[in-house]
Amino acid sequence: MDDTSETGNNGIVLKCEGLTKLYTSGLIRTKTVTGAKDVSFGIKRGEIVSLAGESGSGKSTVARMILRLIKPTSGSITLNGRSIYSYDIREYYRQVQAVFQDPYSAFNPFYTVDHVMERAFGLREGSIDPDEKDKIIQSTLESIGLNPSEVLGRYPHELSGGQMQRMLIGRSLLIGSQLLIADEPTSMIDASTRAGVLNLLLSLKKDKGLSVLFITHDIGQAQYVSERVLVMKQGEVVEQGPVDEVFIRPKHPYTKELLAAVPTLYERWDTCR
Amino acid sequence: MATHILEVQDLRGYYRGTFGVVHAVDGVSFTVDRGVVMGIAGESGGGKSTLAQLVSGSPPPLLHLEGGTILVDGIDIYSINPEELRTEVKCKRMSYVPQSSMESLNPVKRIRDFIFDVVRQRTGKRIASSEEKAEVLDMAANHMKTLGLDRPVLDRYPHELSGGMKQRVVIAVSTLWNPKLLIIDEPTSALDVTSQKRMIEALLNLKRAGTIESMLYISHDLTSLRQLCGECIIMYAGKIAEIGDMEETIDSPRHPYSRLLTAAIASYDSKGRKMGELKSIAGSPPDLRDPPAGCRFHPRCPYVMDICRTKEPPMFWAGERKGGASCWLLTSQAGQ
Amino acid sequence: MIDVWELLLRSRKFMFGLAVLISLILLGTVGPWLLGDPYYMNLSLIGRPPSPEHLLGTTSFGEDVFTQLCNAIGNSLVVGLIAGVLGTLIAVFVGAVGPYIGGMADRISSLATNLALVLPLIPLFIIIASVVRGLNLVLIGLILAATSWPWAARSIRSQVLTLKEREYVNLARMSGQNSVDIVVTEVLPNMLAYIMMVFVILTGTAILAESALSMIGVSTTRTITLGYMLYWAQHETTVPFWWNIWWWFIPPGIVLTVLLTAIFVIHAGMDEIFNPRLREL
Repeated sequence: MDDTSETGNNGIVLKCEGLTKLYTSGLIRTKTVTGAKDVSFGIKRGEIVSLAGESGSGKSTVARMILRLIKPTSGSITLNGRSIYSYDIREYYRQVQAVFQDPYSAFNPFYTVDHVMERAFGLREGSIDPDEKDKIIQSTLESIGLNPSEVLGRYPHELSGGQMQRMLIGRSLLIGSQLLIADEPTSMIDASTRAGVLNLLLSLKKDKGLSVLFITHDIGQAQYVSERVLVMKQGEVVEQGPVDEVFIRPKHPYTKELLAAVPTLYERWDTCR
Repeated sequence: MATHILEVQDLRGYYRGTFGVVHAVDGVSFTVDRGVVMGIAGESGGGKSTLAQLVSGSPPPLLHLEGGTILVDGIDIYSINPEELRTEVKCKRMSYVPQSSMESLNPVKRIRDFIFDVVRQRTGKRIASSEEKAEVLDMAANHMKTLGLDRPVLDRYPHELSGGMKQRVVIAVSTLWNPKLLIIDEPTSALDVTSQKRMIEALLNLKRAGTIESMLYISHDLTSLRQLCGECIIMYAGKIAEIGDMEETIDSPRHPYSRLLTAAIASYDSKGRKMGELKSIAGSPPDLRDPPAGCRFHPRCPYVMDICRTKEPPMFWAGERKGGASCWLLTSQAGQ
Repeated sequence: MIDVWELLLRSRKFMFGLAVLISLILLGTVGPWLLGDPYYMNLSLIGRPPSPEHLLGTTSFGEDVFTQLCNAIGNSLVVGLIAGVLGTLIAVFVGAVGPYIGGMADRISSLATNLALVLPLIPLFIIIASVVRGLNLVLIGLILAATSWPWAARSIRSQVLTLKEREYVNLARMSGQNSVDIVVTEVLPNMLAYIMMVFVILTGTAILAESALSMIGVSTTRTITLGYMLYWAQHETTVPFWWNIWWWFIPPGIVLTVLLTAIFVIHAGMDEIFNPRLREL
């Protein structure tokens, strides 16, 4: 891309510009649905950026485009100043990894959870002997606060949602990726295990300089983990800025609506009194 | 008329299969007074849904009632015959909305046709003439208004509705007959926060409108419980850890598990600012095929004592408070 | 995890079907080895009813019916197995790989499936039988395999289309695996139970199809199969009324019914285990 010199040096890992995805269906009477429209943002090294919005707002579409799972209709995505499509696919996935919404769908029920971790070695160059692999898996799990003997050798349904999501974060750590796309990692797991996932993201950001795109429908969680937040509605970014600013002085009515729905434990909503 | 809408006495429900015997609900007793919304919280695998299934009177194939009684409006639902259970309890007194029941809407039927089917099932009427149909639709539309659904929803197909709307349609259909008790299992967990809020408001409206009298609301999410419930039960590993007034349980939990649970849950003030650091609970819930001896929470409890490992704590009822908690730490308070 | 194999071993239907099938397989494999040449015609013993020497009597050519029956069971099973294995492989390949890759590959595989689905079996065989000299068991198995897979491919396709949307497929892709790898290691293992059922059904239907074709005389006329026996018993003209030698056509008829029943009972047993809605314990 021609803007290499501009983005390559000031710590911006990922940059999306004018990202648009249109879905067309039907042969004769074509119907166009907007998945995402003109989305632009950047993520710096060691920064967590949140993408907040309701389901259907286009958050996941953006994630999937960044992950090269779907192709954008127009716009560009650059990783370290280079178009993501200029990378070899394996090279790209060494840099960018993901955690998805539903942990039960992310683990193949046919295998024990070790399978997912072992697979991750497929991205490494050269071969590693099995003992070495086991050691690396164990130390990675320990570093993210999971007891290897408690999780390894088990089937997905024997673990809690929080444990599985943390394992997937561990997987990206094992690969050594610098950008993690976390697509609603906490929305389908127990409220009580969310803390573990959120705290893990925060500590990886601090210790390893991991950059994270944190996608959520709960703007409260966005506030907990990230520095900057983008609010999406119907495929468009309606508001963005530093979290505190967006929270204290929301400009867009939709942001206000999202803020009003943030779950509170110690007080009741006005409508529920 | 019985004083409690629901009375559960020493309930035991085990799953039996090739995997062994899972002690999913193991000695649970509580009552729900008329007009009360009772919440049941706890981590997944704690037996909340199993409890709901047992109370609903239609446990799934592998789940067996192993002991105890369940009285719904004074009727012992496991001692009457299935036909009586259907006509007297399920059609009149109690309605059960299981987890992810919104997926059970038939994708090729409009909501109105689904409602006709349900009305036919319950009343035995044929509902063929246009007058009859109009009557049913009017009743349904009226009822759905309480839940924040407009009349045009009746003419839609399930895939044209959002998850939250589908869930509310299911609730509307299950409360058409004004059940005294609504048992509802995790209605908000698959929804995003804005739909969650709408759902909770809809349920409160149902109660305010007098459609339902009492509710048993199951959710892992203490924040939604806090908005809706008057009383709550914290379940851990098939047993009640703490039971009592909703606000008291959140604001001053007595059982260590309740304390850790509230600390692990993200909470924000009305501006969305976080309140305190989130802490996760170490370890994971026990395998209920072989639950730990003594207090089932002892392997994860930061305050564990010797007695916890060997002897199961009884329920300690606080004098001035309505609630009780099952923890040996409370002996000193309750001892006198 | 509930151990599927343990459940299968507990399933009365599955075990009953399996027991019957195994005894028939024994009859079809050990029988011909112990008994003599099934084509040997003892012209002094024509159309004799069952007796201690000839358990099921003799044909109007003087062949021993029991010896023929044992050979027929073996050969029919061979045809069924060839068609079952090959048909399953084709169904899995066409039904899984095309849809997984998507786009043009999916369109081609769908077209092939639909074309094969409308292929008329009996006219096809009449043409083949009249053109090909020396139609043997393997060839028949191949042709049956080539015509029996489409329905299975279709249902496998629909399952692959849902399974490929699972996140673990995306995760595998992000682990640098290629499409074929993903189909083989991530998608197909979750369909093993279904593929086994496809195999059982295809085997059963192939045995039945071969018998039907033999009976109308368009399959092999040289190798003994259950259909072959029925064909000759029916076409025999040396006795005034063919039903006079009932011991010639009733045994293969019963064996065919029992064999197919066993196969479908096995299928029903598997269905109960693999389909959670039917599962009972």
